[in-house]
Amino acid sequence: MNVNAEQELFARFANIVTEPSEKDAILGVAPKVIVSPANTEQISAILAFAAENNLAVIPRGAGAQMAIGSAPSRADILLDLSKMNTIIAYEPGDMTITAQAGTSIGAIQRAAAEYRQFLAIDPDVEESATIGGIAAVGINGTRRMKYGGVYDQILGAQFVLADGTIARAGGKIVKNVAGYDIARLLCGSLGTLAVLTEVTFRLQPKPPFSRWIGVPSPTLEAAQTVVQLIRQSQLSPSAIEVVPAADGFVTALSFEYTAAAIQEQVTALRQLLGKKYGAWYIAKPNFSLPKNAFALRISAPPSQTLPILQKVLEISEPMHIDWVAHVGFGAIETSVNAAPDAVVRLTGQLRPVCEAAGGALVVSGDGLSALPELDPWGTVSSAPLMRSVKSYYDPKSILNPGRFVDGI
Amino acid sequence: MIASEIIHLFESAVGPMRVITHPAERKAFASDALLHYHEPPELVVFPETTEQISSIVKICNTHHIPFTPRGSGTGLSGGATPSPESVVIATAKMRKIHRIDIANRLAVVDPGVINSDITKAVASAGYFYAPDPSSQSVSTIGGNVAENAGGIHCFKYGFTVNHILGAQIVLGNGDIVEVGGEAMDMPGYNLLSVIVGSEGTLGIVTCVTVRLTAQPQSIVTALVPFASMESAGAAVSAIIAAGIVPAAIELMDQLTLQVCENTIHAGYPENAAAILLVELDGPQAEVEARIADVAKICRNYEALNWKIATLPAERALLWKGRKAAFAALGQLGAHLFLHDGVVPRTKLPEALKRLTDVGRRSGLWIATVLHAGDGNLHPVVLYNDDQEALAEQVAADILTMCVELGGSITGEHGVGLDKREFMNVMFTENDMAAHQKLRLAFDPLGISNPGKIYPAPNMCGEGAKKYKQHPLEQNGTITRL
Ligand SMILES: Cc1cc2nc3c(=O)[nH]c(=O)nc-3n(C[C@H](O)[C@H](O)[C@H](O)COP(=O)(O)OP(=O)(O)OC[C@H]3O[C@@H](n4cnc5c(N)ncnc54)[C@H](O)[C@@H]3O)c2cc1C
Repeated sequence: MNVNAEQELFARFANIVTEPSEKDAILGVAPKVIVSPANTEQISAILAFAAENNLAVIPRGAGAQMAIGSAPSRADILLDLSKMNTIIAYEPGDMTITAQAGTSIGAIQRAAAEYRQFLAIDPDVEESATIGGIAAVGINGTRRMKYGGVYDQILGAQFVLADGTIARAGGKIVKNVAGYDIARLLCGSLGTLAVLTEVTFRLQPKPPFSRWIGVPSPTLEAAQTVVQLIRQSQLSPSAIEVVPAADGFVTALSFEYTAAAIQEQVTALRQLLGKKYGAWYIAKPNFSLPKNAFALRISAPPSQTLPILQKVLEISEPMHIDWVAHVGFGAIETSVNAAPDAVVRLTGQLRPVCEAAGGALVVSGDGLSALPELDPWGTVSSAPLMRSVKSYYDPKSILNPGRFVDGI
Repeated sequence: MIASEIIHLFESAVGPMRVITHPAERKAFASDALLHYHEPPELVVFPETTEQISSIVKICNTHHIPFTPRGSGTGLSGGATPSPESVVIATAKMRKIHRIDIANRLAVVDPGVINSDITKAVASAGYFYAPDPSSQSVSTIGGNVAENAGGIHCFKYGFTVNHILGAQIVLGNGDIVEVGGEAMDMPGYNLLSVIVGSEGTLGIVTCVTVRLTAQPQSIVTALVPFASMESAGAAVSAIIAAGIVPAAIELMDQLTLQVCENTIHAGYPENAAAILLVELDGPQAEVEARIADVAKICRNYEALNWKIATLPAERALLWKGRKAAFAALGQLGAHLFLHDGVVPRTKLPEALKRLTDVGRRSGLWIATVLHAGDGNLHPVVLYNDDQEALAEQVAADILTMCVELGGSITGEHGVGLDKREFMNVMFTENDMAAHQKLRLAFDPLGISNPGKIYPAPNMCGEGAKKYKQHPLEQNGTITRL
């Protein structure tokens, strides 16, 4: 950013501009200024200014998930959305909630809980993580299997384009096919197409009861057998997860029904598993992984999840990795505390395995700042079309430049 | 007119037998199920492979000829009505189910595969394809994807968009692109999210990977008559507020239920002012407990009666009545105009009241069926030859009312040609410009089904003559959102 632009920025946005500190760097790249808008019009003005002066803008919610993607190729303005944290409308009877993008997921869940409702995503992030950030990253937790991803919860959004245009897509109702579903497209776009300013989500009713059942197994092969039996049966768990245990593995299932129906499901599960495997009520396992320098996330067709996990564990020997396998919908999340070159090796060996199975491997974490050459995303077959989309929404590439797939 | 040399190019791409040029034959492709609009295409081509579609589109691209994808032509918004001077690309010869993968609960199918054929192919393994538009026995998966089709079981199971894992699409320049896949949450933009529901304007879908859903263990359908639409609507709200997620929850007014009963004899009580059809599915104990809750709630809202069906044949009969609504109303001899607006569920009572007012004011009969759980209204307006203008005014009133109440002009039938002039009731110019950047990215020349969804500034008045008048703005009822 040249001196003139910087001076003008300070002059025009005087009371919302601050100097960044070291901790504001994005994977080692320091922004020049932080701007903390209080409303959508200010965001529009900032983006229009940035577009005119070709300044790179990095949107940030609570900063809970900034170590995702590559380091930005340039960073001028850190657009801090944390002041945009108002719940605009919550209509329990409609089961929809509209909030500014900087609203924390915790605030949403608390508001919804008053009416025995919830937003059906449970990504492994702090409560302070913002819904805008969660939508932009498009991450999911164990609820993915029953309720779908973030994409499936979003009903509409207001957003600001790179040139400052304020626009809306979708609506505030649960069913709507008027116009392209841009709100859904923005989920998982890592803030590279537009800045989300307001989001409407659908909510779900809390089930009467929710219980977890654990099926221990000594080996991963045995866990795979258990999972296959369950998936081929008429049981309907809300989640199927595999986690490590002291003496092997546990397949953890959640059932969300009336008490009688849970009982019925557990009885059927025990019958299905026979004498070979036990099934016990357990506390909800802790699916939260320790934060380490690196996190590897694998997507795979569900039936391939455990075979790939097996490979992950073999190849990563003797490194220690923490993991959880979402076998119900086909994902493995890992947290890796290892030297950067070891992670490069691991990625190099595992990524082809995942891609051959029709999946993908994505690397994230603060450790990426030491690995500028590593492509965190891997190759994406439709990258040219994605680039084309990017070029129409953000022709100067000022939104999160260089952070997304294929250098977008 | 497409020059004969260019026709030859199409013929050599798919074979002469797969190109229709004769005017009389072409006429059959001039409309979809919304017969108000007709525009005979220049040509109709019947490709059999993705590569052939790519070649066809490349010819269109080189010669700037618009094309309109077509499935079974059951669309209700003019989506498959040919764009002026266009080539129709029909998927009728692409009906193969390529692969069924039960372990991963997916199937890979051609775009011309009929929705219910997927379920037929996997039923014996204990699965089904969940989105169930009433047209499912004839509509294609490509058309369902393009319209993001819904159905009576979408309240619980979600719409088409929630059941598509991947697609292959031929872009406006003929490039073949794969989006999504067999694994979820792949890196990159979620392009599938916008391809679904794009009404053929982002290219033509040539292969689809659909999700399969396990059949529920137990299903119960309840038929509940009420003395008024209001009390039935209030019961719907109460059921949902109790945290119950019915597989389907449908409401019919008296006119509709009487007409359906006369044709199908499904056992609907004709003296009721409204009937609610509620279906619950899932584990047996769950269904038993929840159906008892539903019964209690309905009693609290003064239900006139309570009847449940558990046997497949009984349940099918109850649904047959509902699914025949449109056809049965058609037998009354009037013209029908079927609407598809949505209101927030809590606004249903008000919407129903205003709908009655609209009917009274206009003097037209309005029969209403609704996907009550999602607030998706299907008022069917009946009118005679000389009442067309009145029917248009009523259409405008209904759509505006939905938007005023915080809803949408379409819940599942799409905008197409029919409602594009109403898009600006929901969206600002800026909104629509932002949406349409997407179209440029997929189809810079704008040859893929042009003129659909968004009011096209350069084609004003060409396709849709109907709503040019804009009665909304004239009478000052429009409020932009
Ligand atoms: C009696 C009746 C009941 C209906 N009930 C319902 C209902 O319950 N729910 C509901 O949602 N709809 C319903 N519909 C509407 C209609 O059936 C759906 O919109 C259906 O999805 C259309 O499928 P189709 O194959 O007939 O598509 P068409 O009508 O041929 O085409 C629809 C649109 O899709 C595009 N298209 C078709 N194939 C492709 C392709 N391969 N790639 C890209 N674009 C393509 C066309 O260009 C057009 O814009 C009903 C229609 C009728 C007549």
